[in-house]
Amino acid sequence: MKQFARIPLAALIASMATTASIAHAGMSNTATTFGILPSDIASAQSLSLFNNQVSATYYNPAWLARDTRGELTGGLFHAEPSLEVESHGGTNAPARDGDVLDDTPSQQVLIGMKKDLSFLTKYDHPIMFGFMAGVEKFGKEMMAFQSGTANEGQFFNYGRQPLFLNLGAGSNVWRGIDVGASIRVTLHADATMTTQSDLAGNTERENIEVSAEPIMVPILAVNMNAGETLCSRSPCWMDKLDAAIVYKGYAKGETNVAANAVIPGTIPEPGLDLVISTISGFTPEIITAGAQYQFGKFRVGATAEFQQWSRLEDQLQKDTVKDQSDLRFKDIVIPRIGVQYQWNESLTLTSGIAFEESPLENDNSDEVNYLDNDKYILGLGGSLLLKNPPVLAWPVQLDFGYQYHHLKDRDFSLTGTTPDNQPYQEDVTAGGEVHVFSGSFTLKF
Amino acid sequence: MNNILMKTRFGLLLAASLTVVGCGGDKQTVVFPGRGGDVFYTYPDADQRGVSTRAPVVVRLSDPVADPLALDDSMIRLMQDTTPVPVEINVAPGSDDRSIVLRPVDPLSPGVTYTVELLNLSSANGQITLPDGGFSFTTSLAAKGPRSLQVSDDLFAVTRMFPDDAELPILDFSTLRFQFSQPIDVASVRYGDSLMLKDDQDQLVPAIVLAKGHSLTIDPVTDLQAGTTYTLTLSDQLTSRYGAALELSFDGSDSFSFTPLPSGPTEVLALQAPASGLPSELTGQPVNLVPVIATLLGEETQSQQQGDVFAELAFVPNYPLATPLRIARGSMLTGDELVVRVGGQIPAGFNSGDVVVQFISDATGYLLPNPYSTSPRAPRQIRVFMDVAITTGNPIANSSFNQDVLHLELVGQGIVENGVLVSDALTVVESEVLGLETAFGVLSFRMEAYADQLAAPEPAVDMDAPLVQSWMPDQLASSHRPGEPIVINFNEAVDPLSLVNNITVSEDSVEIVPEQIRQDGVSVIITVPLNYGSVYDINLLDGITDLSGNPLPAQTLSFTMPSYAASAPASPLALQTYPGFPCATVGRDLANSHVGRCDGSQTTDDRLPLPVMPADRSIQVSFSQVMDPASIVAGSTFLVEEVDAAEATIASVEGRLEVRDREILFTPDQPWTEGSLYRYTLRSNGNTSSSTCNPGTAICSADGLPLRTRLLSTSLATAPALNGGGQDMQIFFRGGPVSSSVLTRLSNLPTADVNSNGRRDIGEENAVADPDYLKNSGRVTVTDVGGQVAEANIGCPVGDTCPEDTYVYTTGALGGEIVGFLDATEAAAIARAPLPADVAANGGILVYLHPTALMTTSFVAYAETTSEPFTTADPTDSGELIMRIRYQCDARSNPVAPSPAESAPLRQCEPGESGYGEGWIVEGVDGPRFLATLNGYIDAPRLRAVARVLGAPTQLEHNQRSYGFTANVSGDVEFIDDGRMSVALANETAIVSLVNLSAAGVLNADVELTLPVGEVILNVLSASVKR
Repeated sequence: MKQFARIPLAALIASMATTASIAHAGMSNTATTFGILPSDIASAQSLSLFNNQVSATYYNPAWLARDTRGELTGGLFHAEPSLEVESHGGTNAPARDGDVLDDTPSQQVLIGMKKDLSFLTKYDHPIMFGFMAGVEKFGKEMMAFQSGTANEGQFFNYGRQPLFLNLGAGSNVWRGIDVGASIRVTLHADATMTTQSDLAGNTERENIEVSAEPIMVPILAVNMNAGETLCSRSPCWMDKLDAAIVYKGYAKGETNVAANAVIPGTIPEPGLDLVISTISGFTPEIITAGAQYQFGKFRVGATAEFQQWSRLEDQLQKDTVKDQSDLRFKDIVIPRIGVQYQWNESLTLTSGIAFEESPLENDNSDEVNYLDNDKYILGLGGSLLLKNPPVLAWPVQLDFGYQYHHLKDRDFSLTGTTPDNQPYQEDVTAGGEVHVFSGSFTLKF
Repeated sequence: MNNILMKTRFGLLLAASLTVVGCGGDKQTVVFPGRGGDVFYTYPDADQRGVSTRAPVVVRLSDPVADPLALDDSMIRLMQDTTPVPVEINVAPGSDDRSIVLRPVDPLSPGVTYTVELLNLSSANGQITLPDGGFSFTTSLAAKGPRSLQVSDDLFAVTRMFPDDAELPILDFSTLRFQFSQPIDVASVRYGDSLMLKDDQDQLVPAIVLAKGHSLTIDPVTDLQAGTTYTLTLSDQLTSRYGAALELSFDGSDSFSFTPLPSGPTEVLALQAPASGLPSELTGQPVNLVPVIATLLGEETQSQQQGDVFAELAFVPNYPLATPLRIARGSMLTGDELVVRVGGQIPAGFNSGDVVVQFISDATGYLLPNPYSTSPRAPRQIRVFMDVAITTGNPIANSSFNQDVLHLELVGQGIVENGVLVSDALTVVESEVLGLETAFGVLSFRMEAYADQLAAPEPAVDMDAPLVQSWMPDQLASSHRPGEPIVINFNEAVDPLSLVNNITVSEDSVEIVPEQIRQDGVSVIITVPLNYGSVYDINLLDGITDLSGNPLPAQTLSFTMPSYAASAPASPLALQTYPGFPCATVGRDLANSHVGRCDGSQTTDDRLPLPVMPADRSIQVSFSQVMDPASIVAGSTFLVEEVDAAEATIASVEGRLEVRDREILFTPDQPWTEGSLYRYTLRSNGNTSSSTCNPGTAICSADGLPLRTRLLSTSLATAPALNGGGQDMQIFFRGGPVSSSVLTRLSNLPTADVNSNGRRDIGEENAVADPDYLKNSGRVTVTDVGGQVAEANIGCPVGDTCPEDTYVYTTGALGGEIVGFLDATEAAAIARAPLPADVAANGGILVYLHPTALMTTSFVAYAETTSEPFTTADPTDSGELIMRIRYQCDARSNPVAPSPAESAPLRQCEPGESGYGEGWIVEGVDGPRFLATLNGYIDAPRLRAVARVLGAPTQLEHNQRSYGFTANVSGDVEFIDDGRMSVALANETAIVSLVNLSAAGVLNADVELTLPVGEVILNVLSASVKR
């Protein structure tokens, strides 16, 4: 055995797990939990169906057709959760010092672009293409996920977010009717390792293979300007009424790690298989319907978002990390309402609210110990359009968004085994809040 | 300007945002409570059965004991029911204060459940508790002794099966082991008949079957087929040593079907058992050091074992909880030689040579979850059952010590430390020493896996052919007697299957069928009905191999049994009775603890003390002749009763009577009750003159002669007939506590008087022609004459020389108890007789000698008178001489002087004194040497002296009745290749007997007979180590 070839087996497996993290993100993603761009955050996604910016690629690709100007958007996103757990004691309950169990931030750099690609065709009909991406840790971390058990409890949402990658197109098809489609790209990661090891973890004859397969999740949208579509003459009162409906397929990030170790003297061929298959992130099937109406300087919108979380139950049955917890989920509908006020030609103020019911039905999920809450969401933000900025030849838009999540207190029973392998049960109340800040820079061309 | 304002506002908003971001509650730290203290390991394991009565109790904790020096029975104790068992409590050195060792002061009782209670035990990490406050274990049943100690149930039933096919699965490589409620009769173990393992085609599976004591092992020769259904049958043809048929063992059936699981792919884990000298973390004793603690060997005999062990693991991923393993048959560990010192002090004259522990069947084991703790730090439990043969390099030691030890159960812990699987395990090895005593040793076994298994040693391949290292009788055929087995000792274990049909025995060139051929260790024991004078050939045919398949060269072992002169057949004598003196007695006074004197002796003879019988010993009687087994029937011709001081029967004592050719053993069902009086009766025909023997009412020899219970007489007229019987021999004793001394029985062999009739018969050997027969002979010389004797000669007329007729030859047996080594101070304190100088200076091994009676052949004395030819003397036939070895004391409350005064009176026995003689084993020039002083009576009951006065015969009276003698004897203790012990005692002082013959106060003749120094040789030989 070559000495330099010896690396601890545990380290190798750990490194594989790290490598596998390029696969996907946690049980939430930026777009559905917070909003992509500051304007989405500010409206608590209530006006996202009708957002002219590039985030429409995700929320409503049909709406891309409404503004044929090109845009290049860059931004920063910072979500600061303060997720609290209060213990009420139990069997072998831990000593908890402090309030905040989890304050892992999500910090993303955002980049998006949309462009009319009709110039590539022989026709003059606008076809808007959009692309949107968000990268965690201000661009330093392409992928992040954590999947595991947690005696102390873990929040179902929040934390580091996976890479967000979305591209699509939209176009007008008939009077006031636009259709759009996009795909959201998720990754299924597979890692395999074979090695020969001793009981100290010194390996030789190692072989590692890692592959990531992109999975395309469809998003289909249609929107309608009621006046243009339905009214026979213009102007019409319905000219200011837009409606949209969007279907998003469910997306899951899946990571499979298959390691095989032959330990001479202990485990011969075919060796010891270490197989971990976990759902590292999940976005439910979503159907969003909404409408907006323009009242002078005000634009008011409301959406109802149906999220089919029940599908996750079956997925988790195949999850080797969480299959023991009998996790149950329910489908939810999230109402959102928002308003935008055009202060002047340059400044626009936006606000929105939403109530998001927790899809997690369990108050106890053995060893996994998921915590999730109903939450109230309030968004605020503004947009400043600089039509004639210095240096640049094209207008620039600056956006800022703030979002506040108030997590409604919820009681859970945490169970599992302590690090010393003793039975553990603890009654806790989970709550907390989240502050989200986002700013973006958009060059319109 | 407007733009600038907007930018400023946006900046302020961002700043405010970041400020908010900086706020929030305290980050929570989560600390789970620790476990406190845990028990990680115990020996014995909870609910373990079959635990040695010599086992210590070990409790290993997760953390150090809070206050090691304060440990006492208020924290942890051993209980038998509700009674605390006295123990020494210590923390094992080298255990990081984590292992608590409880050593019982006395051996535990067999077949009893004990409980270890944790009362108030604290570790550095908190209180130690166990469910139910402790754990229990059950000791093994006794391998010998009273029935009640050997059986756990009146029904003969399977009490345990390993693996059980429930918690512990049976795999294709498993060996099946069974334990029973009673010791199994190995003769009933007939594979394919009384027990069988068959496959689904109803074909018998070839298997090695081992049976001993309460244990039975069935080891298929080749691995079973996984997925195939097998049926194991243990029929009611299997019987216990007590004759009970086996109960239905498997849920109302005698058969058990199972389908073995696949073991493969298997992997062999190479482990080494190091001889590091480091203390075991379980016991603090050096690892892999096997002590052999016994009275015969002392407490310092030990062998450092080391070697490689190759454990074949089943495919671990398939058995994550209970991982099966096996250690293949033929594996071995080697160890340093045992320095053999008798009593631990006196060099035996040989050492053991390398001690080899060889697996004679596949050991089966499991790696199991820790039974006490779920802590991630807790090691896994290891349990292994193994059957081993213990052998030694030295032929003498090999014959003495080699044996099978079945169902040795290792209970250990295993954990990976620094990348290496290490295991510490305990077991207690109980082994027989010289076939006389059960030694024990706590083995602190440690095994460490080789870190680099790819570079680990391969299992050694045995390429050496086995050889016959020693056999019995070999050169000692003259000492062989019917009833003794033929024992062949190999240098290594041989494959039992290869013995089948490959050993034949012929008598005078005619093949005969042995009664039994069995194996124990490296010994093969052949039982055949031996006949005097026959030539026997033991043919070891081609095909016998060792466990590795190396063949034994074919060979024949031959010997000739001594000739038995059929003329003048004599009735059988009880050469030795244990307990008691071998004679019918009169004048008993049990209330005052004496059993009278031998019938026919002088009325003033010493009174024999009432012997005390240790609770767990058997009555043993050896005879001078081959007996008719049909005539020895418990409850009929052999009675054992509890009696009162008036000799009235209180109750019969039930027990097991074993009748062999020349000896019987009676083992009671219950231990003798301390303080109770008992009597055993050997029935005879009631008439010393009658040779009639009815086997239904009296004990008879194979020749149909009755047991001769009286040897003495006060006159020639009342002398018992040579072929006569006598009154029943009743021997009394009192029950006593268990003794740690080792009972030893030695026979006076060889002897020229093969037919034990006290006569010189035509065809019998003599010491002149064959010096081998100097053993157990005495040369009689005339050293002085007086009275009317002018000259005298032994064997032939005065003036002639006939050296071959001057010898007498001894028939007899000696018994003794080896107490152990005593230093000079201890010896002086315990001895009641003067100590030999060597013992007084250096101490020695005390051996209590059981008084008994020896018989010699007769001699003929020729004499010329001072008044020839008016008065002449006929040749005087001494008749057989009876030499009684006297107790040290007289049991009468008021001893009287002998009358006539032919011997010295003895002191009165002290209360409770056994009166046994005292012998000592000391270190001699060539090894251990035995020293003793024999104080005895000589009787010549059949001495017939006739003087002729003017031709008229006149019967002379003589004084050779209870004639006292004293002689210092000594001799080297030697160990023979076949494992037996031999002591050739010779007299250090001449034995002089002044024979006075007289008639009517007129004729008076004195002849001084002398047995010169060194010419009385009592050569005693122990029985076969294995039967």
